[in-house]
Amino acid sequence: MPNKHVIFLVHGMGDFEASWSEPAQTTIRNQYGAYAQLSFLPFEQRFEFQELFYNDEFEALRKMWRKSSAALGTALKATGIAAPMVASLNELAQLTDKKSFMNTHVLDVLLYRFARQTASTIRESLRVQILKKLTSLDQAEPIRWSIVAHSLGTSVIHDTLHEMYSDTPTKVGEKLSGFTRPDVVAMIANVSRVLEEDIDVYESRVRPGNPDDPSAACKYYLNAKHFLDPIPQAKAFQPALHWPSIGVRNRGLLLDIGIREIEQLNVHDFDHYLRNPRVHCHLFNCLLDREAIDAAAINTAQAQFAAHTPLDDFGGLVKKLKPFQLGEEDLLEKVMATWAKFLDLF
Amino acid sequence: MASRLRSFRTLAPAWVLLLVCLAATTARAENCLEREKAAIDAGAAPIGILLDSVEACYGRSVDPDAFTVAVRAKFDKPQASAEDLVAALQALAQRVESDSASYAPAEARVQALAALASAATSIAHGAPVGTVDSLSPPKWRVDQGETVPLVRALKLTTTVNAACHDGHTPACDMAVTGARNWLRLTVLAESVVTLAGAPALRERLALAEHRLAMWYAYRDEALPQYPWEWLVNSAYIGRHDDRERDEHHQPIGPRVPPGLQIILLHPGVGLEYRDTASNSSGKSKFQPAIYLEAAGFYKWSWDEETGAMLGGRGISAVVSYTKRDTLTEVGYGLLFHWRKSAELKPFTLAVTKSGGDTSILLNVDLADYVKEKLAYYRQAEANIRDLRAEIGALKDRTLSLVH
Repeated sequence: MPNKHVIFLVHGMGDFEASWSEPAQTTIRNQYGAYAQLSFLPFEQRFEFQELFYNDEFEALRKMWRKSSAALGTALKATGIAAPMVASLNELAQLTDKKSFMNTHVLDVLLYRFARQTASTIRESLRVQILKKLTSLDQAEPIRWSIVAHSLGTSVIHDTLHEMYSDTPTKVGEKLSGFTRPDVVAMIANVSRVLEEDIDVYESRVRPGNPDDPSAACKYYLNAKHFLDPIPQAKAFQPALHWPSIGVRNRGLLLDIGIREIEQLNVHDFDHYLRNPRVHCHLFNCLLDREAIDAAAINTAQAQFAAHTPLDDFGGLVKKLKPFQLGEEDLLEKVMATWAKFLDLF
Repeated sequence: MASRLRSFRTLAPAWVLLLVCLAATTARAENCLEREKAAIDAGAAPIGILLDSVEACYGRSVDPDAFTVAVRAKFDKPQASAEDLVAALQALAQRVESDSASYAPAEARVQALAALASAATSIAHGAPVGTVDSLSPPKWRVDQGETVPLVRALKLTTTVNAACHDGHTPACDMAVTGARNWLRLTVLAESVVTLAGAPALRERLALAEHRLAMWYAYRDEALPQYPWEWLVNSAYIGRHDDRERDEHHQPIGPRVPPGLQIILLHPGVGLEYRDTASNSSGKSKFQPAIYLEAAGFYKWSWDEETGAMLGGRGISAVVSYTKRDTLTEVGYGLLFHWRKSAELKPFTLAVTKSGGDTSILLNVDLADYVKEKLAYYRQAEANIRDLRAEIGALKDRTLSLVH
């Protein structure tokens, strides 16, 4: 059977486990099925999902620290030299065991941003996961694939792809972009700029480009941001008007989507983004490489969607979200503290 | 895309209507021919063709078209050789040459023939994937339903829409047939060059797996690191990031795991051996000790072939503390790490000075090893202690009897 178009899903910050992507898969499938324009191309015949997972790398690190603290505590206890220290070490070991916010959301973000060996391990792990899937496909058929990433996953996948597509030629193959590249890179609640470390997001290979552009790591780049979502606000991904080039923009290969509808207080939620027609309609058009849902149909869907949001409570929700708003110049300490407070609500 | 999208938009109402009408009939279609037949029956052949350009049914393994089957038979088989791939590309070229009427316009035909010849020559000469445009699968793909980067003169949507503007005319049929032929050709060519590049993709996977194994070894097989050491080592990795930079000053490729680790304020527990310590009070010359590696480093090398961590040696300045009754308790010295092979844990041994005494400090892992190896000695030492205690007791009893 011909290969299906593989959609890789990348999770954000939080304590994710295997099969984390099922709700997102259901949302995308359901939204796709809701459009008569797309019923000619049934989702299941055309696409398949493949989730990418990197939370285990953070967990392995937490486990290492838990183990070393606990081992030191046990050894100290056995020596009888410093009994009071044992309690402190046990506490330290248990701290990394808690399913606390500090251990899942913020710690993961900080580890990815400041621990280069952690970032490199995660990037390599994602490359292995992507390439394993691609090599498992029928190599005598065209291969199509795309990526939909959320939150921390946007930074992770940005760095992963840049390193993958800037890599030097090997013995049997030139640069990977000449061989295969994602059709769509969809960055939902994009934090790639606020977490950028060794790779500048505006100068990297992760930019949309024509098929004959050897340095563009994807064809379509979709950036989705909710105006009240505090996570992608600080150092928001807002490229200059000529990024990556006027020609690429004119071809519609860059989609910079701002959304305003509020269904729930957690406007950062992956599903909340995916349910918004302005996000999923453009995503489907990019995945299909054509305007399957035209602008008028998107506007209609958007109006219907907005109508079913709790409009009566719009002001209340905005008021609740206002204290968490961040600006371009905010320092990382403030950004992290605000993220922590905001995500602690859920 | 904008201009093409505008042309899509002008036809949008018809598109939407026809798509809705076709949905029921085509959803059950099992392959591209049936799907197209359904589309033609519904009077929407051009649209059927265009939809297929995104579904890429033509030229794929589900396409029962005789020419497609014949070409695929040349390369879509286990262990297809370079000759098989070249034969498939040559068959495509022959078809374009012999059936020029089916591959209009002439300029597109010329471009396609040049690209097919280039791909065949490159494969025959073993050119690495990506070194020539014709070996790049994305360049054989229909772009936004319109053209193909390697066959720029091709204008699929524009041609079909123009020919079918007045409905199902002979000109429309011809344009649809032409589009179908081009789709088959490009999908087949893309399939061949994809297969030609499969080893390159597998090689990329092997390299990524290799590097990942190195990072895992760094985390799991080097010395364990506390969080502050993890951050210090991150800074070290950042400072020694010697990746080349591209024209935008961005790093090229992934980081390579380091061959060195910094040790900083690393606490540990071990056994201290002090020869000058007396056994008379029933205490062993071995005593539990805690130590702190103030600063140091640990180095190793990597096996280029497997990515395995080879050996390992390190040194650090150490402060130790041992509870002893009369002797100085705090010692200062050097701590050595050594690992012979990947199968063995790193051994740690320190030489410290406490006052005027020299001590040997073994970490817990090494102490366990020594414990096992020196069980005989330890037993003998215990026996001597027991014997001394018995002699002492006997002496006391004798003295009391004498008195």
